[in-house]
Amino acid sequence: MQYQYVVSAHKSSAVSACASGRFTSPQNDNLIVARGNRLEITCLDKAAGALTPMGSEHRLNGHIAHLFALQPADRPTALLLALSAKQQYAVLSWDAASGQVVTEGAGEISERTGRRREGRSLAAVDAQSRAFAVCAYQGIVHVFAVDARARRGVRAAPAHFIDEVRALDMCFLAGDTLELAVLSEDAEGARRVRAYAVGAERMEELWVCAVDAAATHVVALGGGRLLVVGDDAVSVVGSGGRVRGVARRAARVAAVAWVERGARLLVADSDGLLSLVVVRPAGVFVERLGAAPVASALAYLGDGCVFVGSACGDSLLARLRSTPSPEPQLPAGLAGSVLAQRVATGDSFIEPLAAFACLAPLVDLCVAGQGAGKGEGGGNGGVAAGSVVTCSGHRTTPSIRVVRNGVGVEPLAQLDCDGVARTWALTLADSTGSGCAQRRVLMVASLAAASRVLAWAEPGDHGEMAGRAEMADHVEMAELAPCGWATDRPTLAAGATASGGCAVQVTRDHVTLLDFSGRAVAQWPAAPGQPISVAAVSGDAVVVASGARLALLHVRGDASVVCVSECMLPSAVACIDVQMPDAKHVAVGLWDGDVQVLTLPALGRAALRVPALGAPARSLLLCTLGSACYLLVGTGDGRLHQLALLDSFLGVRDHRCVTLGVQPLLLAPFWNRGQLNVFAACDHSAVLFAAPAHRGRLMYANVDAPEITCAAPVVGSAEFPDALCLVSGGRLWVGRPDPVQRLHVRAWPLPPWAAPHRIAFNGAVYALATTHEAVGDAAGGDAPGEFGRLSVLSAQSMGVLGSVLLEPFEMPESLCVADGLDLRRGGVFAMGSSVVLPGDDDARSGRVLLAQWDERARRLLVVGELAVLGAVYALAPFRGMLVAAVGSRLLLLAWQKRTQPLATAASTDGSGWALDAGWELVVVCSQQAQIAALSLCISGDTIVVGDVLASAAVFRYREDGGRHRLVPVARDAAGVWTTAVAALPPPLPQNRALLAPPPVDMEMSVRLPMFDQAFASAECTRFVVADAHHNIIRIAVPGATATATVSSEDADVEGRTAVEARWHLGDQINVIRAGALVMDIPDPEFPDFLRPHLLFGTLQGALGVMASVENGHIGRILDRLQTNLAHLVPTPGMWDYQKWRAYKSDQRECMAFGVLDGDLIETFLDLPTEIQRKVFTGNETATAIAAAAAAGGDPSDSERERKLEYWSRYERVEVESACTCLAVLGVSNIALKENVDLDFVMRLVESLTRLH
Amino acid sequence: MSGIVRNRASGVVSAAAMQRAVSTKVLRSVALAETKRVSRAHTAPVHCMAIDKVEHRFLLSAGADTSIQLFDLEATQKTDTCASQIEPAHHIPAESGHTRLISSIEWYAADTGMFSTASFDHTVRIWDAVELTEACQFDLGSRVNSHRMSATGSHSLIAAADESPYIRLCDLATGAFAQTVSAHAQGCNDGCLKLWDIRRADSQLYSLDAGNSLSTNPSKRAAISSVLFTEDGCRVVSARSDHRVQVWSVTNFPIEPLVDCHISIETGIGSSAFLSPGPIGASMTSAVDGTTAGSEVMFIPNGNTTVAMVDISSGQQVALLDGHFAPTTCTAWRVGHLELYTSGADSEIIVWCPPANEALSDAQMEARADAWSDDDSDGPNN
Repeated sequence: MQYQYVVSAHKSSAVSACASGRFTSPQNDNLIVARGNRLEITCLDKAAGALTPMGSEHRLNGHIAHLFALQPADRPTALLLALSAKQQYAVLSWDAASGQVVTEGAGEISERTGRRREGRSLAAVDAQSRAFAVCAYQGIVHVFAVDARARRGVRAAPAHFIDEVRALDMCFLAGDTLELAVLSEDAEGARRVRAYAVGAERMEELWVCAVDAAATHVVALGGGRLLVVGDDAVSVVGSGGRVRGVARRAARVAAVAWVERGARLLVADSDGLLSLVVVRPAGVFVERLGAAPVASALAYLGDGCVFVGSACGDSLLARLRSTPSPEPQLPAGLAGSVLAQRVATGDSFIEPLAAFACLAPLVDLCVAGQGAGKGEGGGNGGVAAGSVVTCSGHRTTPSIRVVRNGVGVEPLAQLDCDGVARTWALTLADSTGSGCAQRRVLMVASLAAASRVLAWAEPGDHGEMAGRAEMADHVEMAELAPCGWATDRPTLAAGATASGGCAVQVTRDHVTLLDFSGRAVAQWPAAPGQPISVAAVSGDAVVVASGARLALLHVRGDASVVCVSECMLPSAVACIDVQMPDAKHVAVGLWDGDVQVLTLPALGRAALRVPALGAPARSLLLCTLGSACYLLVGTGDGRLHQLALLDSFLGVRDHRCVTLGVQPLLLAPFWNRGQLNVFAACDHSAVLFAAPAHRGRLMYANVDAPEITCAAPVVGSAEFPDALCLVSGGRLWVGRPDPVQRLHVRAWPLPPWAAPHRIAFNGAVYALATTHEAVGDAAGGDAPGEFGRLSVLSAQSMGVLGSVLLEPFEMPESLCVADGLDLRRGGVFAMGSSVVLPGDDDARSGRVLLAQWDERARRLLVVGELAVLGAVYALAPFRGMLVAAVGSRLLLLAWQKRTQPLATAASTDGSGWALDAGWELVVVCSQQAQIAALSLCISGDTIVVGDVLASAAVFRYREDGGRHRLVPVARDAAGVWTTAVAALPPPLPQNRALLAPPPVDMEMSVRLPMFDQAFASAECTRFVVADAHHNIIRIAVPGATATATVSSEDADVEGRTAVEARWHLGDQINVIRAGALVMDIPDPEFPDFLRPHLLFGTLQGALGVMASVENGHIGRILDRLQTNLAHLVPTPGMWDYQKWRAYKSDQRECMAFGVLDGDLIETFLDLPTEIQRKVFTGNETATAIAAAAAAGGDPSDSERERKLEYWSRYERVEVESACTCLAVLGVSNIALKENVDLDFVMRLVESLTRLH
Repeated sequence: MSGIVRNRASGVVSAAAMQRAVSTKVLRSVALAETKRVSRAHTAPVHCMAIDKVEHRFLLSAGADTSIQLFDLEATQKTDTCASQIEPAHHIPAESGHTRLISSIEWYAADTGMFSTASFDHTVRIWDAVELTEACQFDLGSRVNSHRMSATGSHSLIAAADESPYIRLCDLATGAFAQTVSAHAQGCNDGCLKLWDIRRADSQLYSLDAGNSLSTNPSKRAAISSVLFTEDGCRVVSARSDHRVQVWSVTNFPIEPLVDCHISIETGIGSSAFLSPGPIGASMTSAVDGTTAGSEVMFIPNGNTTVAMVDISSGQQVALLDGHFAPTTCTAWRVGHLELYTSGADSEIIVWCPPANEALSDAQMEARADAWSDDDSDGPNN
């Protein structure tokens, strides 16, 4: 059983809904934003014009489709109504005492008969918050009464049938009685508004009024009147019919929000323009406000502030002004953003305050693999190896974004110094100089048998050494004259004294105090025969150890070094840390594996006892990260122990261990943009930081730089703030780390209306290719229209290197790198296109173009062309050929010698057409595939084709007698609307024996006959299918050997497929590509069990990772943990987790299986320890819920009954192709069932967090 | 299609809208399957078919020859022309069960272990689908024209319509008749559509006869040949022998049908349109599943050699499928596979599917090229 681990590395950032209200307290103006299944509650800071988050974000078990603030008259604060895409509702409130969201009422709208609305359901809230209405089924409205006094204050009324089958919008009329107005469209396309009086039993029709054919939104005006907003007009409608109206600019209305209820309405349209509809007794007026992002949700926050939430680009917080500003000023945070060019237009009433980055819609992505990072060292930017490049945004704010895992280090200077083992950086101030203080940065490098001291001067130092520019360019660094520094032996420790006036150098024989000019001021010799083995310097305190003898020295007045105290330890000292925050303790690691904390200055044993670590410590650090104090211990085997200390330093609160690499760790604290981080240098270096979003939990970010063995912070340098002095491969260099976060996203704005559609990275020429359809003039200067274009961009600067304009009516469809084609040249991209002529409903023809970026000539040349009959939906390189999905067929294209000479000579003008005279692209094999083959993936000889509506089909390549064939192997018969397919590599040979989990008792009673036989074998081809209903399916097909016996008899038998996993992601996956965000780190504890293979991008801007868990036992432990977490830890809304992840399409709804929800499992680390233990043991269900009540409401009996009732419908375990799925596990005690301890599970989950 | 796929990826067009557009187009292309056929197992007109609702894999057919054939739609054998032929997996021989024409057949909705048949031999019989043995029978005393089981398997009642003026509800749990509802005047096909709520005492909800009552002469009223609940349970479709199709809402008291349309049965190739208003109504099916997202179509056997494909929500006739050599009798839609099975008085069962859905292997291509030398219509490149 191979579990699929799915986790979002970059969570979906498209705003699906938002609401404003006084939610957290009667004084606060809150903005609540729903992004997918997450709620972010922020508070508006009116003075600063910024949003401050209230606590961490809240996960709900459902995609939030609607969000409303309810403000009942008898409550001081607002309630929040959330509606999920699966027809659930929840009424939430804020508990100010615990800072948590409380569920006041929740439920589900479900009808046995009736047809679900196409698209999302409609919802409306009464202006006085007495009721809300939901239209989830065609022709049925559910009205709920809100009772604000009691808990669970939502009363469901019976479903009301209405005549409107095709309802478009609805709202409550703001009157004394409940009246609902429904805007609908009939079969002929005519639209009307019908008003109903909502009674307890039924709804009585009040009046009906025909409205514009383009009306899309209705909002209540009060007095029984309505404002009907349409694509080109706004009108006031009442019981007496249409009262008055006014035309507005023609554009689809995207969202509306009241600025002042009944008087001023904010309208955002699909072109991204904001306008204000003013309703006065004299009439209705429309005023254009200015450009903003294309809104998916609008919220007016009060005080002129408005939030424009977008699902296709960055969101914006802006202030509305009464007068337009001719030259708007961008806040600093917005200057470089994608939105900058859009909102920085003159004559706008909108003053941008802040932007919120968003990758949505993520249309395509590519992973930069080999060849990336060619330009590294030449400065920042560019596409580094392991980066993901995405096509993001559409229409108004398109962009290309480069997503990188880990912390990049921007190289500042490479120093001419080899063989360095360790380094220290210290800043000295010249206290003796006259007048202005001079400062000098020294770098002490310890070599095998020598030391070198390099120095650079800070500004103000009148010397031969100059400032930064010269530094970075020429890397000139003066080596200090070897005056007082001992350079003939390695340095053990170095540092500056507390005043910064003197430097301390510790060598084997001496502790030397040196002044600004490098003259030795004082010296403390080691005892004869007892050379110093280890030392640490911190300010005026110097701790030296010779063997097991420890001595504390003190620098007195920058003039003398005296020994303060001495002690003997039980074993030889391995490492010392004296950088204690309180300057009262020193930590000492001994070679026998013990770590002792001693008090200063007496060097007595402190009360703090460090637990056994298993291996001798090689580096120690005591520091305060976030709000907690930690003792960090790096051991020789590449592990890092983090010991959270009690506030009083008396004991260890928490002990965790992670494996970073396999070589000894060296720890160094450094300041980065005002935050203290720790650099853990080893063969896979990482940066530790306290994440505020995860309750201050320590997080690790990989360092995106070659093997760094030692890091030293350059403290106090004005020239290089936050710089680090680094050693990698024995070379010394200075670098500046990027802001510490796990995922680094950099945006490159593109001109409007040039949204990229496909992207590919070619490492051979270090260039990217994108296709897009642009609105504008063709090269010939014809009438403006849409034109397809293929562009090649520099992967360094993202500048356009060259582009090819396609024919009229030709649109790019697919793109891939075709260097594998036998072209004898690199830098070739293959692009497929479709031609839809006016009057045709579908593409009847298309082209495959081979375009080469000639690096020497700096030209983009079209070297090959092939016309085909249909749209080229997908292209992939395959065995030196190309596979193309053309319409419903699968073509195999090869680059072959021309049989006939080229008719037209290659044009040498600027058009870029230079067809190869000797070679051409030909079709060598054609196979009918499916209805419309939209996506392709390759796994060895197998080609998987994703169809528009008929799931996936598998073909296998065969060559007999020089004839190429594509043999249909298998076909998944389910009607799945595929959006992407991707092949999974087979499990590693050593893991095959582990795939079957050890048997347990009959809890998992349903066996998997197919898994046991053909499908458990490593021979089968596995692939992942993502569908338009936001699901993920994993499908297995028996391998070549299994089918070989069959095919010998009858080559045309199509085999069957087995579904191994079904899961609801809740977001439409647009693209899945092979690749990973992290380098392949061998994890000594879980060697190669957890293998990230695939990256996916979604419509809502999430970037996800799919990994295989190639160990059945570990997979089942995680499955149990997921179940326990889902059942025991309450979420706001109390929506059913299993329903959220249940596979759902038009055809079937069944429980999820085979996929591990990484987003849920990784929240385990954020839980308090006692809750973790309860989740782990699982049996104390009731107590765990009581203990975790702070995190949400309490499920009453009715809630549990509702869940039981829901799931009783799913008792019939799904039967699929003779493979019955796993029975879903119940809450279990993981310790008992799987014989593992909590610590193991913690380490396991922590290693999972390092997959992305 | 290319543009709409692009727009789905960027969110400009919702997935639902894209699916409706594509499925409408694909459904319009449904044609005789070239690579698949069902072997001829019946010797007399086939009057009823059913595909199971669990795996959408097993097809039952029965008719005038009193035999019941069970086909596994995924077990195929190759024929000379390299088409996949579906052979009967099992069958109940003629005269071994029912003794007269079998008028309707239905799978139990919840699993494939049981099915039921109704026959002119006055019985409704329940069969064990694994052993193909009779489990029990209900004797109604007159010819049973039609019967229906629960569409969801949520209860064990079978509604049976015989020549008496009543609808009888047979209870599988007790083996007895649970209820009898008064339907029509005996022997009179009065063209009325009646709806009952069998949970209520006054169970008849209403009688729908729009347009029919205008005709004063009862004998001129067109009989309803077929009724069908739509998949959402909110509407009823009725087809009359005068090729009128009406869609009714069941949620409120309808005076007028939601849709009222006429089917054109002219195929354009001169097949004579004759009617067979026999006692058995032709059975229609709706094709509403994931692959036909949004677009609701139904298939109506016309009584001549054609089957009409009609959009339920608009009443538009989408296509006319002509392939049988004798009057068509019933249709069955295979959910999720885009396959339609039709049967007729010519004892044949025919498979229909979108042409693009047929992957031809090399051997099939060659065989087809031999049989139809006009191949290569795709042009030189494909």
